[in-house]
Amino acid sequence: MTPGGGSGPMKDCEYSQISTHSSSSPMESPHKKKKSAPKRKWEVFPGRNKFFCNGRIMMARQTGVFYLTLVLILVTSGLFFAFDCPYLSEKITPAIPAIGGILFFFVMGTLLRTSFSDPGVLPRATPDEAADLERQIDIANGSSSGGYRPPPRTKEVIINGQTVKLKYCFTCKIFRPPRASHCSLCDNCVERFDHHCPWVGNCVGKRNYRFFYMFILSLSFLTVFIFAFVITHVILRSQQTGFLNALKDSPARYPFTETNSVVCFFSVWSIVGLSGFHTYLISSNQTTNEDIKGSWSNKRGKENYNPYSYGNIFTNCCAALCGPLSPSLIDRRGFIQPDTPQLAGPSNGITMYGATQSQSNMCDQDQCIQSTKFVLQAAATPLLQSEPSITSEELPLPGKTAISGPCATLTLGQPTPPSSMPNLTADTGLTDMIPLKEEHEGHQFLTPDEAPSPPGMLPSGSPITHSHTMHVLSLASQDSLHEDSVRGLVKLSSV
Amino acid sequence: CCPQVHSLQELRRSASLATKVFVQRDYSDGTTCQFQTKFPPELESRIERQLFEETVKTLNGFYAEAEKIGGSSYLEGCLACATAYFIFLCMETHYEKVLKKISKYIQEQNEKIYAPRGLLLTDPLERGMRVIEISIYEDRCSSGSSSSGSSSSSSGGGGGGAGGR
Repeated sequence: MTPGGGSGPMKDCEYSQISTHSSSSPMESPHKKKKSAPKRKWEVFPGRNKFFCNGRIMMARQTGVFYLTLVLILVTSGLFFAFDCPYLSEKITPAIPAIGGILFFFVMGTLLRTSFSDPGVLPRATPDEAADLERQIDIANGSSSGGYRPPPRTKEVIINGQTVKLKYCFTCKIFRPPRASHCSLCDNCVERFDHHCPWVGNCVGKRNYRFFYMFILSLSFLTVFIFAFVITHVILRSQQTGFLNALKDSPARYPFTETNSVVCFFSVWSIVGLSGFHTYLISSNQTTNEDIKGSWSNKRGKENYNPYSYGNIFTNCCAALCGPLSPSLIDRRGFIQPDTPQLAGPSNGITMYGATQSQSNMCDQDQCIQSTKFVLQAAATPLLQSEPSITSEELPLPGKTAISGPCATLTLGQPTPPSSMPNLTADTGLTDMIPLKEEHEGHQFLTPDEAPSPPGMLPSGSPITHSHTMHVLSLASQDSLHEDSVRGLVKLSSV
Repeated sequence: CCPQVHSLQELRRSASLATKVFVQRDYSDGTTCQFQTKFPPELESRIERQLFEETVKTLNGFYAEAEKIGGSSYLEGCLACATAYFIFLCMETHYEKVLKKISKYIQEQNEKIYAPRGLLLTDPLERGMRVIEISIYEDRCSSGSSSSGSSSSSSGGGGGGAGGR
């Protein structure tokens, strides 16, 4: 370990003073553990998502309402098939359950597709990228950071003659592409963000909008279908035996028929209404987000028009529903590249950015924790820099397959610091923070390979005073939502 | 040693990363994936402008092809819709096929053009389609110029080898 040499240019005495020797033994075992169990990227994904089936399925954190949706659909359809279909297929035609079955199949298929797929999450910036952006912002804004809040970071682009402002996302450390938005529930930036739908338990964005639309469209047909035929069933029976008798006739069926009708009645109006609304959105090529904000409405000004629209309804619809499906950018099932052999070489020191300094001044707790991580990252980064970059070379070489199927395993030489964290953290030597962490969190030393995504999105940061860092740590420990980042600190210190 | 001529393997072994340059997206055409063809000043001394621009233009062409809305993409979309999108479980989409082509192209460019000049392209797919990351390597056996790293370039750069094992 040559921490001293690597951190030469660093002015921060707090880090070089801390002994790294005591951390060497805890470092050994987690390190060995890491080698035997390569982790997949979904396990260290920074957003608030849940993953199932080893990363194949991705949903938002709160899935309760999704299960409700499933139950409602299954129960309503089940009752229909069980109690109404036998009578109807006999009396009218067997095509009724057949069509019902196809509709039901379609509804379930599109619902599951919407809920389980990646809506178009943008991966967070790598530290290099974030640092580069920060530098460019600084150059653009002038390097003085006035006061607590830095000037708002926006970029303007002209799209098809319309000026569009691109906003900088502080969580993801990127300039959001046009039409992208950050979902606060999932804590991800999503491309062409429409809305977060609790009913499907996921965000609706570029990659799953068509599934969502097909879902609500087919669900409207299904509910109308079921509603219509349940009513038909009751009418036919009442023709035979009189209305009240029809209801009394099958006491077992009566409450179900009633329930079915009621559920369908209310669903019809809401679902059909929603389908109508989304049909309008698709034909004008807008997102729910844009429509609600009135981004392209004429009320903002005569010159305001939607630059993304293709001009006619037909093309807009085709583009939204039948256009190409872009691949998932977050590579959930890829493996985090295990450490590659270190390259000896002089460290180039850390570049400090004023912008990051100002970021650390922000009162937002999230930002405080982030900036602490910056510092830790900053200490770590220069020492590892060559390694990640070398691993990136491996990308084209070992028969790298692009997204070739749902179960493809990608081995990417992912130059994210998490994979290389363990090697350098010895140098950051945050051993004196470990006792603090253990008090608050009771964390054991975790495998360095679990190094959380937060490092992955941090640029090299400016030094923050030690006291500030300690302060931040105590803040962090209080915030359950930032448990991950706290764990990250422990991991850093454990190596 | 010859300072500037490397194969990919040699780069890995002998060079240390000096800095990274990021070619950003060009949104002037909307949300389609296009990259700026502006020549980054850091590459001035490393590669000919024309070669770089050609690489970026070819990549842009690939992405445009992938995202093209036309007859074949409609067919694919309608077929997928008709099967309730179950067909995506077995079939590779047109976009994915083009991405494979892009990956091959980048690898080829790296081997033929960029690695010999001490540069390395990273597939934009691994950076969330936001940037084309170009890593610039300093030759180790050339002078100790690598410590310059911090100057005007981006992130702390390299020296790796913290040997924390």
